[in-house]
Amino acid sequence: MNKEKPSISGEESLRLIEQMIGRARAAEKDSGRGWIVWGWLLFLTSIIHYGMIKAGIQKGNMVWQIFGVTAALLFIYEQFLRKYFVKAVVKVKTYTNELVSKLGVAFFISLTILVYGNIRLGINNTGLNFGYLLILYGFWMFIHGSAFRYRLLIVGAVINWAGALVIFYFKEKLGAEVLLLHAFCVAMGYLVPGHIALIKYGKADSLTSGDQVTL
Amino acid sequence: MSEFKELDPVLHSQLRLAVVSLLIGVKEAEFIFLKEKTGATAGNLSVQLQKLREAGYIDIVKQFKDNYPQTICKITISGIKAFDKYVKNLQSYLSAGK
Repeated sequence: MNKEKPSISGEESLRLIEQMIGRARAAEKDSGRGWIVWGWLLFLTSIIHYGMIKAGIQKGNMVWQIFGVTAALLFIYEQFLRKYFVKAVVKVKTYTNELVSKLGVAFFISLTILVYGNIRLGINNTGLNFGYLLILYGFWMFIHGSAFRYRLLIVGAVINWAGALVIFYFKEKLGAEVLLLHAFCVAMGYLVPGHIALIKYGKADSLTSGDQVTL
Repeated sequence: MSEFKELDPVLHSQLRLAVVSLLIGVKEAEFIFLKEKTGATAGNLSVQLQKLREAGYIDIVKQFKDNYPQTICKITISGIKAFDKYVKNLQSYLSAGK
């Protein structure tokens, strides 16, 4: 951009404002890495548990305990320790990013209480617990997707809520297949949107850094 | 350009308007972010940021992070009001011209 020009037309001003607001909005993005890790953890744990049931291995709940410890450690790392190991350059802070970060904390606190409640009430072996989990995932996806105007996450939320309805409708009749339904909803709600977001994130980065205005 | 005489002269400059338009939608932004998005030179951007600060439209915080200097800019309440007024005036001029 050259030295200050004395005057610009009204149309130029308006166009400039629109361009810059659009560019600031483009900074409100999520790489999807967090959902991909979380999604794969959930997906694989569900599939492994399903495989163990079909193979007649009784210790299926152990995989969820391993999952819980891994997820807790990753959450602690992401929230508190990452900044000491990774010197990430944050060039801009947006209100959306801040809100979504707090949403993530609220999600994990709610999830922890929910899992504790499921175990305490003894419904973690009925399969119904997955219905409650899908409601919570859907809630997170809907807010996150709305904040970033990312439709795939909103679609994921609807799929997860539908999955919860199916689980509550069929109750125990679903049997071990509830794990497959859970894995499917996780794939649709976290993995597919996550991987697509990651691809778009890389492209957006190169676009925004090279897309300069010349005034 | 007499029809634009009532537009805020602080904002009615390409680079300053670009900076305020960027800051209006974010909580805070680093100098390097503004430089990348506007394509301005560091020197010119510094001068224009200073003018916006003197007008009370933005706050500038200079600090060190991991031994690197960091300049963080944030729009003020006055800046938001001025931008809002500028856009309203601009729209009235544009609609009057049609």
